[in-house]
Amino acid sequence: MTFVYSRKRLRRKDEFLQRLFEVLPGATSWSLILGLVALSFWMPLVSSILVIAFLLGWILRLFYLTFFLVLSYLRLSLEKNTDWLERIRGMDRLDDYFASLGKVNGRKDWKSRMSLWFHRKELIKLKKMGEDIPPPSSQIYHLVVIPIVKETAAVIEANIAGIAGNHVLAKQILVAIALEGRAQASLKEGVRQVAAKYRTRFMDLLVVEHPDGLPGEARVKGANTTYAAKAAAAYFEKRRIPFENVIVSCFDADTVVSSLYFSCLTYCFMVCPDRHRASFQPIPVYHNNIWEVPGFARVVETGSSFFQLIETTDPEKLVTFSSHSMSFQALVEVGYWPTDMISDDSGIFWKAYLHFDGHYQVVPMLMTLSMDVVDAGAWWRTVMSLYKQKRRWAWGVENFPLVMRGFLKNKKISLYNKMRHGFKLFEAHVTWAALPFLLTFVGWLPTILAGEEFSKTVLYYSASRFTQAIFSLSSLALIGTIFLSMWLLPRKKKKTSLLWTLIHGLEWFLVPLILIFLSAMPALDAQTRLMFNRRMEFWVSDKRRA
Amino acid sequence: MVTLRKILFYFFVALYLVLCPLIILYALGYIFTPKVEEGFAKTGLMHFETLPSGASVSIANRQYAERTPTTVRNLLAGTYDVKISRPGYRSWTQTIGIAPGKAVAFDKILLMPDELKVKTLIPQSFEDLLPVPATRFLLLFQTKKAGDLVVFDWKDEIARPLLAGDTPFRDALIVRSFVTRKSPFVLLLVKMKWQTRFLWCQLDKERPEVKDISDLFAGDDPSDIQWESENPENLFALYGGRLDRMDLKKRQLHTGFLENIQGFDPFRGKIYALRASALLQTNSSGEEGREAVAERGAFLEDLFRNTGTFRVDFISGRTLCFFGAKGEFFTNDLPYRFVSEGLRGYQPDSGGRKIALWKKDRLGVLDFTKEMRRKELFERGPEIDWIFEKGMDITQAYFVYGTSHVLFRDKEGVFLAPVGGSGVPAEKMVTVREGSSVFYSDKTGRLYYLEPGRGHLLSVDILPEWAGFSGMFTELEGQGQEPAK
Repeated sequence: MTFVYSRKRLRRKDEFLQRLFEVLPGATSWSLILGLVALSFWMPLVSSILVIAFLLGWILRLFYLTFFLVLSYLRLSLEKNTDWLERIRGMDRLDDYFASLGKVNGRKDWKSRMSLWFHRKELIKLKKMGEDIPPPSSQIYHLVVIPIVKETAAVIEANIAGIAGNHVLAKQILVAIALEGRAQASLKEGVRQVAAKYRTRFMDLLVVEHPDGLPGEARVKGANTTYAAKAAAAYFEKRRIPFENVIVSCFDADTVVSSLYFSCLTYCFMVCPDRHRASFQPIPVYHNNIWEVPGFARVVETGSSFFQLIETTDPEKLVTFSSHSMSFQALVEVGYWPTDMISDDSGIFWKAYLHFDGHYQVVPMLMTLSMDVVDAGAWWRTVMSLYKQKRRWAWGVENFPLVMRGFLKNKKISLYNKMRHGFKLFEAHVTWAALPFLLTFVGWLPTILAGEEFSKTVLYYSASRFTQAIFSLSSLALIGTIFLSMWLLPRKKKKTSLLWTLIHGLEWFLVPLILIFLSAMPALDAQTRLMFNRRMEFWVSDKRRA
Repeated sequence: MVTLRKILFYFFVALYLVLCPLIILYALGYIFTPKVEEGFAKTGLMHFETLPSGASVSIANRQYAERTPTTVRNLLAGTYDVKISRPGYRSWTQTIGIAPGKAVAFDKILLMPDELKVKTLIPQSFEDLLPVPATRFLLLFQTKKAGDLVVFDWKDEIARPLLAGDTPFRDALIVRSFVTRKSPFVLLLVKMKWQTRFLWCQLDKERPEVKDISDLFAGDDPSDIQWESENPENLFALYGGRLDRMDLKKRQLHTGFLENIQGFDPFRGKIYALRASALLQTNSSGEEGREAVAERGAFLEDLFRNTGTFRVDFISGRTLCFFGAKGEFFTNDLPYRFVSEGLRGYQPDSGGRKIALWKKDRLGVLDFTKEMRRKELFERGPEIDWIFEKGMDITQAYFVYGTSHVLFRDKEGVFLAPVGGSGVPAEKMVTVREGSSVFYSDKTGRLYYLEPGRGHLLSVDILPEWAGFSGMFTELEGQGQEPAK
């Protein structure tokens, strides 16, 4: 379906719908918070019943998500030692390779055996597809687009060096540094020096300068990456490399990938039956400077990684986030990334989903890529910077009105899928903004504000008892999270005592504060801005490394 | 993973759909019981908190394993005999009615020890004691002579004579004593060789200082003398309807500072005076003009009609009390007129939101924090809850353990009565010397009194020693209980 994934140049009816859906998430979040506060004052009995129903739902959901967090972590750890390169080379001669898999099975440890079992399952599925076999790995190319506006040359070099570390596949990688024209001259010079240093390691390395203020564009990352991707398309066309053999990855400037990243990505692309109708989502972790930032920033970003880990267990509802990859053919077909949206990372998924009438999915990659935790130097500046980063992420709510309008227009996507995706998108944003407030304050309000009449009811005593029980239970999930975080975080450069390990574990008890100030408030801020049509501009987070 | 996720999702949804209504019903008090015809019954609960905690609870002869503080749930509607007991303490028993879905809370049950802990503080004979409100001092009267007056610091338990040995006022006879809340001063009106003298005594010095300020008084028999604790340099004496102001610093007398007044109260640097059914406010230095806080009108005229003098008293920043010579008691809160006659005294709590009041034979509590009755055509204020009505000669009362109990003196007995209509009868604590006053400190949780026979100063623990938290909070708030009026 042809749908202009933009809020600009709309007809009157579309404009009304756009505004309606822009107001809806913020209005719902505010109504939930204020409504329950008002109910606690005037109808404490009803409010208490709602709080019980809400808290029960929350605790069940928490256990459900914690279970999948653990499961996802286990799945990730299964593939820790997987030789992805061996697999993609093997898939080039699929039948022989498939037959050989059974022979090596007995020699491996249980993790490898499990990994092989999953691998065999994927190959069987692929073989069943028959004709739609993937191109040989040697003919699969990568385009890596790295948008840059104010990041330092050192950060960019770490990114490029990480990509170059994929030695065997490096010569099949085209790196396109998308350099904003408004960037400082010193930065441009630094980028060119890095490009000159690494160009020979790749198939090629382009530095594409994106002029400011092109028609139809906002000052957002998507405009920059789209401009670079178009330049890369011309490059591929010139060399007669078919777009369907190209996987495009859009990396944030501070991304650092492992030496196995592109072989894993190639593998995911090859085993995916509908590879040109799919995005590939690695798990972002924020390990580059994790031990150099304040404790609360570490908790915030580890929490973000955990969220993404949980999301990978539900590919049917997974949406691209931050650094991601997809078929270049698909990218070109949908008209590249949105050029007037801040949240181009999730925007491209929805754009493709609508364009391909619902035949589009996100494939989770069992591979991490590392980025920087926000660090503005001083403690308070880091808080502010984190707040702005989370607000920018929460600005992803701008997709909701576009998706809903797209759903209303598209007759080919099933109602079930429209409902499923629409509700998830809506509920996720409302929960993000309202849930921490409801948990931290509103849950206690009926008891705190209880008048004489309500305080003489059984419900008054039951509600506070139930709330306490729920929070005690939730600490179980928190303890599980603490252990997982300890396993997931990279080792420190310097060896530290058990006491410090304990202190890092205790940092997780900042979660209630973090949920309010660095999660709910920025989300509510973003939704309120959207509600009142106060647009945001792309703001680059402060990041630094020691 | 996708399949597992779906299975678990539906499992959790099903779990939620089953658990949610069950938990809500349970929270509302519903339980399944085979004893009731339909199987489901809506129950009530009882909540108990005691001081000291750890008492066992028995309801309808069934002993519960939980100790106080505890909540006993799932009680079918009806009446229950409840007994709360702790070894070494007197049991607390009561019959409590339970209604479906309702909770009955007793969150301030004070368990008294089987044997009260009595301590002799001064083994000397005294006739009477006078507490200096919201300070650490008690004045102990051995005889009517000023030289025999003893100051007792109940916080440090130190006693010393008020007057030094060489003072010429030693043999003067005490006629009246004036004290003011939070002020470590006492003004003694004494007779010496047929002359009336006014002695201004500062108690918080290592050796109490006494000044003769008689020259500042225009008459010998003021009906009232008051000053503000923050400004003890300005005294105000009422003679009939005339208020004189005495500046101790400049040693000046301002006669007729206010005229034709029915009562006054120095409060926060102002003088509030009742005159001709209007309430005036003026600066206590007299430098600024007067303004009416409440204008004269039919309503105030009706309220104060045909009445004499009043003790005007701000018990908090928002509540003003008027205590008339005939025992009337009004406040500025609805319904304004609480007692028309016969009130003997009142005692506000530290926040000024509850007042213990007493007549000769009745003790009541006025609670301004109670919610107004809704959905009534006429707006009403609180009403006095008479918690004890079999008194013989009630003369003093103090709130105890917050405002959960009232300790009161009735003739020679001191009794403890719970507040809140629990029906628990007043319990006798001690017997005191005939005609002598008592003092209760919420900081120490002790009652100070004079022994009936020998007149020794004794104290008895009403609250356990470690329960001085209520006093701590009071100290933090900078407020304390006033003495009986």
